[in-house]
Amino acid sequence: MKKIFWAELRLLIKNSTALWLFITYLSLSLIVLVVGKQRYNHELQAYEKLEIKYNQDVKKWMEKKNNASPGYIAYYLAQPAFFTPSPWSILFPGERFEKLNLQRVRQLSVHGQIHGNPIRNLEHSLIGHLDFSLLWLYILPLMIGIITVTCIAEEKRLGRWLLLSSIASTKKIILNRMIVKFLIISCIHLCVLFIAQSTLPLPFDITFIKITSILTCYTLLWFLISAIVAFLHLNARQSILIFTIIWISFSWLIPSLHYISKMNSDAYNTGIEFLLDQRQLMNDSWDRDKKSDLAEFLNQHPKWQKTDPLGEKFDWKWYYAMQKNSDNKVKKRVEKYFSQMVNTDSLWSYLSPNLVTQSVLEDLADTSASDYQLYLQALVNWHGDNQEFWFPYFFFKKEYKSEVLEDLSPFIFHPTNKPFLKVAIYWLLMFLLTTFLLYIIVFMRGKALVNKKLNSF
Amino acid sequence: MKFFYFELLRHRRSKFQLLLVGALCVIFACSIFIHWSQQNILEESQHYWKEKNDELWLGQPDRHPHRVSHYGYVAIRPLSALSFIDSGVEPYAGNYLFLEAHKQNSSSIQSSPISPLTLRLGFPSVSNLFLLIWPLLIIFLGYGSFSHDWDTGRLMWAASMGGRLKDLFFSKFAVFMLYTIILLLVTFFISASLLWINKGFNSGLLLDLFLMMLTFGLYSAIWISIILLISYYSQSGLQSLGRLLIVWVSLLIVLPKLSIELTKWKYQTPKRAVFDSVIDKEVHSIGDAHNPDDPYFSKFKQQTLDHHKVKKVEDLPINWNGVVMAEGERITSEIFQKHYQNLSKNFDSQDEFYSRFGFITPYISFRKLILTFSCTDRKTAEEFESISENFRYDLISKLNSLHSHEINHNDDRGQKLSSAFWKEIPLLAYSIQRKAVELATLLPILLWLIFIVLVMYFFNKKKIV
Repeated sequence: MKKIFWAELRLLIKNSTALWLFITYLSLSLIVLVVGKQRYNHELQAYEKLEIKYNQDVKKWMEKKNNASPGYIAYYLAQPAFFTPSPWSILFPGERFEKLNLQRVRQLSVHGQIHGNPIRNLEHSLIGHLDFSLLWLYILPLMIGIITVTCIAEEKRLGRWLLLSSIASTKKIILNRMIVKFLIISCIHLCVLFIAQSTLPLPFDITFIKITSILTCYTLLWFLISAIVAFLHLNARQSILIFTIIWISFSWLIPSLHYISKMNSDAYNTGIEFLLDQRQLMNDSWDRDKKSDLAEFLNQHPKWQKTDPLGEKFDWKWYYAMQKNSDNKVKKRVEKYFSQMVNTDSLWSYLSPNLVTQSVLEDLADTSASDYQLYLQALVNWHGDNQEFWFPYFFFKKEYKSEVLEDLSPFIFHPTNKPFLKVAIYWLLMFLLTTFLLYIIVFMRGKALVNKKLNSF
Repeated sequence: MKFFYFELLRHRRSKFQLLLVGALCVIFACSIFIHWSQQNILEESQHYWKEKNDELWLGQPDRHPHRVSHYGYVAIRPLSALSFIDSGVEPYAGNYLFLEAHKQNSSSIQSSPISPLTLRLGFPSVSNLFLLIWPLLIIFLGYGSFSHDWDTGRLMWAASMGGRLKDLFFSKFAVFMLYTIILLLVTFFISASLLWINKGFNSGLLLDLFLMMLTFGLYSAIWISIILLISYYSQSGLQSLGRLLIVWVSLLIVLPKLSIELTKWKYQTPKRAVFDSVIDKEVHSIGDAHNPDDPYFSKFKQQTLDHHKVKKVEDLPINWNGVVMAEGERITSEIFQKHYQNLSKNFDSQDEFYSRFGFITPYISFRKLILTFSCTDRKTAEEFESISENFRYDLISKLNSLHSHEINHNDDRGQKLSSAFWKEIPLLAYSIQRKAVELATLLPILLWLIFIVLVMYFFNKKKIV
């Protein structure tokens, strides 16, 4: 077994096509690392710019000492809210660049501010990003197929199959050939991960181990799929065709069906629904009876009930109460909108290991749609907490001192870790299934086919 | 012609190839129907929201014009009639734009909250089937065109029958073009029928549809040339297939994405929050309308008083508050337009730089051409934003003018105007106009067409040896 292994390794090293393929794959991985780092830095720089601007604004308001009105400050002061990227987002940016991860939030209605799209060249979104999700989950399987799926068919075409079977068990030879290739690809992955870990701010923690394990499992799965196809003993053309059909189904067809299944009419227009409702309630309130509107607000929020009655002049407490009212009115619709953002829970998605692995890696890198949903929810909660800070100035006429602006809480958000058990069970099932299929093909059908060929020869 | 019939006969014998083309016709038809029905659902819901929004706007009671300007109006971006062939940037762009005083492009909401970014190999549209999947299938049908004939010695046999390389090349080329034409005809007739159901007979749309089919045809011709060339230079069918698969991944998956990353690195786009904060800073550096001691607005006030030859704002024949609103709107709008145009120029530079990669991979230029014909390109989406912004500015200017001329400065907030005033203001009427094809897109296409001619010339001159 050892002898065959080393012989196969020597053969592979002498195969210039395979070597070039590995070198190209490694180079592309390094390019993706550089691209990812550049994107990550751009995000951090943007946040820094916004922080500087915010500090300048706070300083400006503080320079006005106690003369400034809290109502005006709350109206104008835009606090930065940043979904701090996990260093793993360098590798798996997911949906991060299609979402507003950096925002300026004022004390107006939160839902009138936080929904929208980032500035980007829309045609770039259409083409998509170059990242490790693409490289490892979509290009890698095709590479595995190109280098392994014809290993039996090619030997047969060159007339070496019978010769090989006389030297050793062909199963052992093919198995060793696959193991050598699997080990080389895994080494490239480890190399890239260690380069990434030493040159980028990636921590060597449980996430590192999880990502390495997922990647190894994923690579192994595609080797198993390739082995199943190879042991069908078809010709090279048929083997590659079957492998490519599997690849297209897992990488494009099933994800497309998953996407189409999520594009039901229920999901359309929830965004515009709550946006219109929120704006309408807020703007209509200027023409309604302000006193009764405020009374209704105080009934719903008894905490602020001990406030003075509303006078005839404009009062900030009424204004902010209406902003909050408009948010409350659309709360349920927003919850529905948030739940529709999470796009992984369809049966179709479980049929594609690419899609499942992609969502797991994006979850680990905090760049999935569900992470963004959690971020928006945290933003809404933080906005609510900040209202608690400002409302005593409007409702209880609390004395304003400019130093209090330093006490405004910054937005901090860390997504919680997602359960890993479901994924582990999925992987276990996938391995059991593929190994079972391989067993059937190699030891039963394959054996029969080889015997038949040998007899006829 | 004799070799064309031979080639056709060979293909007819292979059930697999006919099955593949047949299955693809069904997939194309399904894709067209799915996208067409989704487009109809979306159009219906947009129509509903347009009606509801207009109803809400026109149903406003008598109120202060400044309240009307904050009540806002939702501009709805219509879908392109051909978006069921290529949805282009539509799933990524906002469909609803909330327009109100002092705010530009503040809330752009998409129809669906689900991002198509999950699909790493592209949206399942007919155009992606043609641009990504069809070349892959031609690879499977044609990788052995020459290499397999080398392997089996059939090429020498053909030479002994008097066959020249050019005859073999043109016959193989013609058979693959025949498959392409079958697919194009299926797509064209189904699409034209669905267009007719939706829009009636529209010669402009039919012409665009025809141009799209022509583009797909030319794109397929390029791929057929690449496949035949690589197949000719490969020693075995397997080598040819391996090489072609690598070319497919490189030209259609890796290079377009790598080019995008290079483009973004060269021409960086600001984050929306930073973009907004820069505008805010510039606006505040000019003046703060709410600050009675603000130098800019103090000067502006004095100029207005001098112009009307009065000493106090209360003596002005127009409402000072409305004048301040109009001036504030002018300042913010001018600054926004300046930055927005810079951004637009940045995107143009990005497109220009990106289009240069079209010389390396045909996908980039052909993709762009299809987007232009289907009116689902970036420029069309941005034109909607730009027209909406102009509409917003005109609307708010009219309302500010009403504030200045119809509302008395004394007890400004307590007054209301008849709703008849804003019912007379025409609402946004936007229809999509197809953009002209850019030279930067056409040049690489021209080069790729020259490539086809060169391949043909090569096979015309080359002999079977």
